Amino acid sequence: MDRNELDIKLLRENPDQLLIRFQPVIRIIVRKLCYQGFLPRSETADLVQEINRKLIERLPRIRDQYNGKCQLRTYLSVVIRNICLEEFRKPRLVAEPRAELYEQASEDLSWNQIIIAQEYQRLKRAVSLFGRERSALWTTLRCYADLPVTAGDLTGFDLDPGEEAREQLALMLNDTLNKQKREKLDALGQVFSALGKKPQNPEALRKWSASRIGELISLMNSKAHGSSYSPETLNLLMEKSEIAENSE
Amino acid sequence: MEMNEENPTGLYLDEDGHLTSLGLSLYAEFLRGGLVELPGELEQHVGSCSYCRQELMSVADLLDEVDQVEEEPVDYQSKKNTRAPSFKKFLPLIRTAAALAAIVLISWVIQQVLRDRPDEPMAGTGNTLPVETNRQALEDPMVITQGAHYEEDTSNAGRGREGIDSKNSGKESPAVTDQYAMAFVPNPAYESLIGGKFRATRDPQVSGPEMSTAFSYGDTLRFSWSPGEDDAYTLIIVDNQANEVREVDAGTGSWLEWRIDLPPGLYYWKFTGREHLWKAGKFTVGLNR
Repeated sequence: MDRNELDIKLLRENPDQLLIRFQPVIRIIVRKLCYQGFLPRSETADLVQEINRKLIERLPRIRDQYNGKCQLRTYLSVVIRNICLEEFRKPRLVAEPRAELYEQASEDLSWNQIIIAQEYQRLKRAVSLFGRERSALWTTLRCYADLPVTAGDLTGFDLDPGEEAREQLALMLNDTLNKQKREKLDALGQVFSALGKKPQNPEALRKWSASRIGELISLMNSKAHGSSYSPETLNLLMEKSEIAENSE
Repeated sequence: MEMNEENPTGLYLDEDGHLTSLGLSLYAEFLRGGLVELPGELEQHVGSCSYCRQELMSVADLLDEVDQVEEEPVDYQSKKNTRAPSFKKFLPLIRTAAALAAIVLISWVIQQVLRDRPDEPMAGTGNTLPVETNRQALEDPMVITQGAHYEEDTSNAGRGREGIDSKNSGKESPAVTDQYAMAFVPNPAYESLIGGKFRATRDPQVSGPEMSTAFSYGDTLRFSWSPGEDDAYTLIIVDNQANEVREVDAGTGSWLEWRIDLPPGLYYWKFTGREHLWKAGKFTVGLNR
């Protein structure tokens, strides 16, 4: 019996034991949300207690609603998170995060590379959330970061003109490397239009890209208090990831 | 709105059109490579909803952290019958130590015969709560109390049920086994519950045994509370493996006494209303003095 099967069986037949099993998960979720500054650390014990109480009350409903399409561990983690957020919304004084909450940059280069790889995966995950706009957003990011665009980056649009045409379009974008933003926006507008996007003038495209990149930065900064991406650091992340990938 | 797989709205999207917990879980698992595809409507919604994108990113990051911990290992056991499970679990060891157990048992029986009779039923006086005669007794200590019936005791007066004096039935306490120590290992989930200040607007202010009081087989647990309107209360006893071993319907009164008929071990009590858990505590049952 794998882990998920055991969890489901406990949910159905012995929910109290399931709760015991998930104590480490509850603690780490509470710790993470406290780390993010939602709650003073002195209240974590109270919060764990309250979560256990609410979970005991809600287990029958959880059992009815869980449909088996995802891991039970995933679903319970989301429920626990939501209970935490319910508690956080109650009026209370929230302590400002202390300086030591901010991660210090490591001198260890290999550790930095691991962090860059992980953050790059997070960035790709965040871009994928934009649905039909994800390909355009990814292409724009690479362009702004002065990274070469490939024919493969130009898939996923409404129109696919074929590999040869996409290679030509990629060359058009790569001609704007290290050039002014205005030229990049012109090229992007032409390329997107050729791939089926609604034609946009450079100004409209600039506003669209600013809005999406702003939201992307917000998504990247949601991880931990102290995480502080900006358009420049986002470009830097992409550049470092490209270097790391090419060196493998 | 009908909730089913063909109509993800309602199942995965809430009334405000945002992802439900199930929707978040499904999409987050997809983002992390655990699922191959998603319902098209989900992808479409997230592509146009910045709020849900934010939620998903937050959930996915959280799951990355959760991946770093392992759940507590538990021995899976089916929660089928509610007869004193710890006693059944010790059965194979009792067979092995039968001779020694028999000597201890006989000594205990002799001791019980020579003991004083237990106290007469007590009315609910001695505290600030109204006097209620709401006693419960277990007809058969080894059977879970569900809808136990009562005998009339004309010496008791007042509202609520009439109880009987729960005489010492002379049942033997379980023999000491090698598993004695295991029965006292604290349960982390219940340890975090006890002594909690549960946020509630109609707290019945339950009063129970002092935390971690040590009792013996045959001792009496006393609980009292201020009953709320339209609420009914239940006392639930679980062992340190979180198995429910007793459920006592406290009805609509304001106090109850319950005679301990449990083998040695650590136990937790939960006092619940119709919809809420009001208080929790723990006590131990040791070997008889």
